[in-house]
Amino acid sequence: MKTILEVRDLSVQFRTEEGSFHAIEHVSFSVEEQKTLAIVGESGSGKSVTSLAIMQLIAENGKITDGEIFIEGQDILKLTRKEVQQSILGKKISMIFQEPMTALNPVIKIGDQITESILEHQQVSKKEARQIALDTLKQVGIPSPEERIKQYPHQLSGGMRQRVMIAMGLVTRPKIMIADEPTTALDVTIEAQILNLLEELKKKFKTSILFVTHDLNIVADIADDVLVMYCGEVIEKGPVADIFESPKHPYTKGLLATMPSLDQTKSVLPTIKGSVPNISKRPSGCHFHPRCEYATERCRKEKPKTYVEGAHHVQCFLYAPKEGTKHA
Amino acid sequence: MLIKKNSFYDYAYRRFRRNKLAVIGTFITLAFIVVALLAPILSPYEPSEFFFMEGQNLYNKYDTPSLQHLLGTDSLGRDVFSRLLYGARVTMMVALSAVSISTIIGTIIGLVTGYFGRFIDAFFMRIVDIVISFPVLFLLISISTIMDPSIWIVILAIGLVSWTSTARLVRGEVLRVKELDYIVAANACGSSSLKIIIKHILPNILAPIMVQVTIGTAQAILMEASLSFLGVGVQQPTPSWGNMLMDAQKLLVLRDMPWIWIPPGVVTLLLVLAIYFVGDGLRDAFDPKQ
Amino acid sequence: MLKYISKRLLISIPVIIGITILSFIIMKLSPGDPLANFINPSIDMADLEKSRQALGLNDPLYVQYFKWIGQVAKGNFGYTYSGNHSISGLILERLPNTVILTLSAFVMSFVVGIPLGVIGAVKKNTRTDYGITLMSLVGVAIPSFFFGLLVIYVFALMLGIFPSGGMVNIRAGYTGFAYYTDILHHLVLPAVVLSLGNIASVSRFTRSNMLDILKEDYIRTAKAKGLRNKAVIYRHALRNALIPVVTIFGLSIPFLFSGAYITESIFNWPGMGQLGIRAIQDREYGIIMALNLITATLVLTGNLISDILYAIVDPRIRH
Repeated sequence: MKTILEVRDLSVQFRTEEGSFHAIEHVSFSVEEQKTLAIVGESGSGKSVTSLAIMQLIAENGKITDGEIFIEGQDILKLTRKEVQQSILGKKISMIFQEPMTALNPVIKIGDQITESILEHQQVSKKEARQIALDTLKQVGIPSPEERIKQYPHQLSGGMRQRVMIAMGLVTRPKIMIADEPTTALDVTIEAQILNLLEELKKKFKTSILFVTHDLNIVADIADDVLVMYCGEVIEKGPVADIFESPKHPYTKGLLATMPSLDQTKSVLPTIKGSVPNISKRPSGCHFHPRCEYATERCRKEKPKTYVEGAHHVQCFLYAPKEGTKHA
Repeated sequence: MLIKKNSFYDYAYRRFRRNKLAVIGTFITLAFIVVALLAPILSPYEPSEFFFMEGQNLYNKYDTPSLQHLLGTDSLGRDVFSRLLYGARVTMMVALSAVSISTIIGTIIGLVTGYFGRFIDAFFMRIVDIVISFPVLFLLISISTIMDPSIWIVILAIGLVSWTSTARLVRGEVLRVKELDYIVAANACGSSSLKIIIKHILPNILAPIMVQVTIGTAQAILMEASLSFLGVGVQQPTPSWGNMLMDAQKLLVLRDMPWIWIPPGVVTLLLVLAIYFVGDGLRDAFDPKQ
Repeated sequence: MLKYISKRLLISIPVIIGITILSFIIMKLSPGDPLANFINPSIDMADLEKSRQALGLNDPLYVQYFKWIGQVAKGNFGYTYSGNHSISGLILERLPNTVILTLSAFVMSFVVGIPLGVIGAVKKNTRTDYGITLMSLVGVAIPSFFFGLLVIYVFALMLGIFPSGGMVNIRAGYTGFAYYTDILHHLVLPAVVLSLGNIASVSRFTRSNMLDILKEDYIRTAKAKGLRNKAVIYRHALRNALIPVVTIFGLSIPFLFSGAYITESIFNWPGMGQLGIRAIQDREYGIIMALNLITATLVLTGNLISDILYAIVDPRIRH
């Protein structure tokens, strides 16, 4: 299985009036061809920062302080900005965002926004680009694309705008597409349509997907592998079946327990006690220890390493090997 | 000290202090104010005092700068430096008085139109539209010439022409604040409109009004200077930086006697710049969006 | 969009009525009743009383107002006190000159101001940006007449590159092409002086708009598509930033007309402004009233056009 995206030990730091802090630290994962990796976490877990870092879209006051990002084996952090713009962004890897209304330029026609990607990365004529755009619009399920192509974003509904964003993202047939909470702003029914569309297109264009979300239902639906983040770190990762059937990290267990299900027998939804700590004032040792019911003194003092069991990785002392067994 | 700790104003004050330009601007403005107040003490001569040439019966006109006359003498033989100092008084008095008038009128109109809305709003906003259609300068000049120009007419004219920006600003702020919960609550409790406006709304919109006052002062200074330059502002022999520049309309003065007209121009520029820095600093300090 | 435009037009009506009323009031308050000077000086005494009736000089004020509007609508702005020149004639003579100056300054404000603003935003917080910002601040803070005097001093008197005043070199008597280049030569300094404040405003405004827009989500999307920096700035950001610039069109017009009085005066530019300044000094209230009315109307028209332009340029309002 070819690895399309590999992230190793990625760390991003931000500077504010109150000082610097790490938004994400030591993040590592990989995405294979035609697979979907879901990054799950609450607000402030660093999942968005991770995806933005891969696309080199971190805001001015932030920077990547450590790590490597390989796209089809090439470390893109070592490339110049121009090279990244020409050969990576929009070409090998594309991204769709959460709010399709603000993510599309309000004063440029939809068609032009799509064809500009094509013209930037492919040697085709304007006519050919327009045809590709029309075809892609059809493929994402937009009716009468010849009309739509001349319209402005505000003339389309939320669901259609997101389809346009997807079209924009796939029009250059990238190897991997990052979707940063693309359905959060949409109605549930539209959400289902968009998710189905993504599945379809993934198979058709053989694209991998990196899906960032806080919604575990979506993860169960579409992910092949899962990455769980907390406080800027990866605390658990593995194939979706493993994560859902035998979650290891107490946080993951807590998250899964909070998912309401139709055959719920309890009347009170369980919650994880406490709240997400301020990103600039992280707890010592294992960041989750103040909220963890299994926390020990060691958890407060030391940072747990990542322990491996097959494809399932977890960063928690509960799974620390007894003397002599392996760890990551 | 005077400001409550950690209140909105305390926070703004700390941010203001970090803004270097704003602080410099404040010091320069204060310096000008001090000079203006102390003009009679600092000034070597009277501003209307005429000087004669050595041992002759002729006025010492257009004398070059020397130890006796730091900035030389003007077309009538008066000491330029003294006139500059006294001019500071005049300029600032006019500007501050005019800004007071325009702020009071503008705030009242803004409060009333913003709070009561509908017909009153439509009426006054059309009046604003009318006033701003006239080029400021010409309107000022027209007012000045209808009556004989004097310092008070100038102050009144500038005040009557400048209230529109304050009115619009205050109106906008009132509209924004009007919908806040505690205003609605006060209303529900049956407080009279006047009380609500004065006790609840006004304190919340003081910040942008303060910013507008600084900008308005700077603009008033420029307006007075223009009027005096054209001869319809502060009249001779009272010195104002604007009318000191009047002489420079003569080619001879412009070319050969820069000490007469460059100093008043430069100090006007400095003072206005300083006030703009302060205004910008205040605006940034009060802006919650940073 | 049509709804928007017709609404704007409707609101303008009471404003223009107000403008005429204000001008009328100012005129009647002026010493010497300029309304009396609307009578054609070349008629003879017998018809004098008829003319006075036509103007309503014996009637109450509000009647005078309507009769005055009637005269103005016919293009009669009265006659000057000294010399009995037709005021409308004088104004028409000078109007084109003022238009040339104001238009040049208008164009210059945007041609220079917008690029400066864009550069300042793109190079935010560098020395270039600080330099541009400082220049803009000085541009707004300096009294325009002082700047004019300085410019004349440096460029005309000291360096001799440009003439110090006038619109044409009368002594040289150029004709044809040379005539026009002569005008252009004379136009440079006054246009620069007139446009300075506006250049400063436009550049600050553009910079601030660009900065806001560069933070928008769609700029992030554009970058995510791998577009080159230039494409992101010019195709995506600038197009959005320029929309509100149209609103400055409206603000520029009163600014420029106001400034024209002083600029024309200093540079001896034979336009309406210079006429106005002389009228003040000569206490020709008829001219003052006429100029007030005309410029206020021009300003209102300018604002209206700029509002309409805004509606056209922003596709969100268009559809």
